[in-house]
Amino acid sequence: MKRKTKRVIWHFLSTDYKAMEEYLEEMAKKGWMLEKLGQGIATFKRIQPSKLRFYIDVFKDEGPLVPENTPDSREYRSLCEASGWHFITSQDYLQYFYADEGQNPTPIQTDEELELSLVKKTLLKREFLSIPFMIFLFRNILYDLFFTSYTFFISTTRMALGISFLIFILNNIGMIGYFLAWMIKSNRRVKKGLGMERPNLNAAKIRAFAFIGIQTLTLIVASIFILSDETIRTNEIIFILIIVGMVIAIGNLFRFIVKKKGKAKDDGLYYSFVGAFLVLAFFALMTKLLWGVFMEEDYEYNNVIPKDYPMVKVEELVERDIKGNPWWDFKSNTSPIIPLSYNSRGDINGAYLQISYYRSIEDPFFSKLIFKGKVRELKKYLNNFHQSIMEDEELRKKWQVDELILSETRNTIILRSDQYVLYLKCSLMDFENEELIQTITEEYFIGDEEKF
Amino acid sequence: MAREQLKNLTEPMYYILLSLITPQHGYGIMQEVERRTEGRVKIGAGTLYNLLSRFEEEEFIQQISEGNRRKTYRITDKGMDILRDEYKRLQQLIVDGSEFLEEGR
Repeated sequence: MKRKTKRVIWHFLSTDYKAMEEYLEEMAKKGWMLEKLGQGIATFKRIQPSKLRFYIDVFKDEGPLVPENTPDSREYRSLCEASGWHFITSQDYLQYFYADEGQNPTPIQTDEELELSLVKKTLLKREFLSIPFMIFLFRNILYDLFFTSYTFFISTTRMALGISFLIFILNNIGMIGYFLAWMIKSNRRVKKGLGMERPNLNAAKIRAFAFIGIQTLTLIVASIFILSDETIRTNEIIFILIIVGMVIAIGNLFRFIVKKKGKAKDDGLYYSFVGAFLVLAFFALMTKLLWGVFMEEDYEYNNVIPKDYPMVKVEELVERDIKGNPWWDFKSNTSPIIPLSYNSRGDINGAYLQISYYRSIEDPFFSKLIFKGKVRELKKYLNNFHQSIMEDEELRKKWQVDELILSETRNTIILRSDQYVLYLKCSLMDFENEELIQTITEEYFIGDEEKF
Repeated sequence: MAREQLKNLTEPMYYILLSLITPQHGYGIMQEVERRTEGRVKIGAGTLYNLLSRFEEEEFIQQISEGNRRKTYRITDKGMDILRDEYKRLQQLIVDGSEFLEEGR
């Protein structure tokens, strides 16, 4: 039995909307008629193979947050119907029409200049508006990429993420560049009276893959890396999946309500506020509830520091009685560039204690990078308290390390010796103490391979 | 920029305003323009929709009723002024041209 419907991935660049007409015409010739468009998926139904003409138009009064059926869109579509174009479906600004076999109705747009200004106000505006949104969304990663890039080297997952993200960003810049070039070219053509260039279907397909396809692939690869990272615990993955799944489900439900149930143009805006509020409230509630279920017991495991890691005994660093086990968090990572690193936090009878340690491959380029990143992080952190960092040449000589930075209050120290970087924070330690210097140097800065 | 462009009306704009001297709905305008120009000027449905909403923003035309699905428009006094200015401009073009072009007759 022949299938009655067919689904196709539908991801053209918005400026290639005219190329979709050719695609739809080819499909109709093969006996497939466009039925509806979902997010990235087009559904076709079986028809008699026919030579239909398609027209895709840009309609300014149906944006992403505007209902499908408003008095305006009905007026517009009935005008198109009256001139011989039958409405099929719509997807935000784009409206899909066809004309019966043998008919040759007047095109929906007859003024190229008006059409171009329409495209600029709708499709291009949306593309360009996504830039600040993306910067906002990825600002932390962007900051890391430029200023504390060592964070991308500390685990294999992070390395994969860094590379994926770099590809994603470069690809996006390329896409925005393409839109800009398209706009400049179209402006020129329309000014000369040539009209907008009709995109070639194959070129449009290549562009769709080169931009949207590659971005989607990198996101998928990055997700696989995150999910398969062994240092992320299973319950964390379940937690992330549940939250992400629920947010997507709510987002889609919300979009469905706006698109299908909304009546007036401004309904979308009203629903947006309510929807955004609901999503945030739901998100906060779920995080709170699920956090307890999935995360709480987890801290229990981390109280023990694995034996094979270089780690000084806290008793040796501070001349104090220590009640119980001071450590409450320990996280280690490994990657081809930084084979060993960990971050541990604890407290000594109420005083905060933190040790971060990195052992990179022998090339000092990476340990320098880590040191620089760590210093920058410390500086940023101290800035909140109007404090800064300082160098101390004498102390550096005493430690016999390559680089040394202290916080103003001398409760934090960052050291780099060859391929090792150590970050120590504890108000109870005296970083000038000879014994402490010796203990730490022996434990952390001497490449005793048998230790690890 | 948009206002600047509207100083000189394009042919379709001129005919749309002209046909709105008597109240008309969208499809009526398309038919009227085609009839008046004997099919020479064709206005696409989308172009018409966009021009109408622009004219309405600029208060060249106004809606007089919003019945079932069909909006009916009529030209305003401001629109009439624009149309008369354009008519004068076009007449001036004819006069200026005739001095040279009709000499040999």
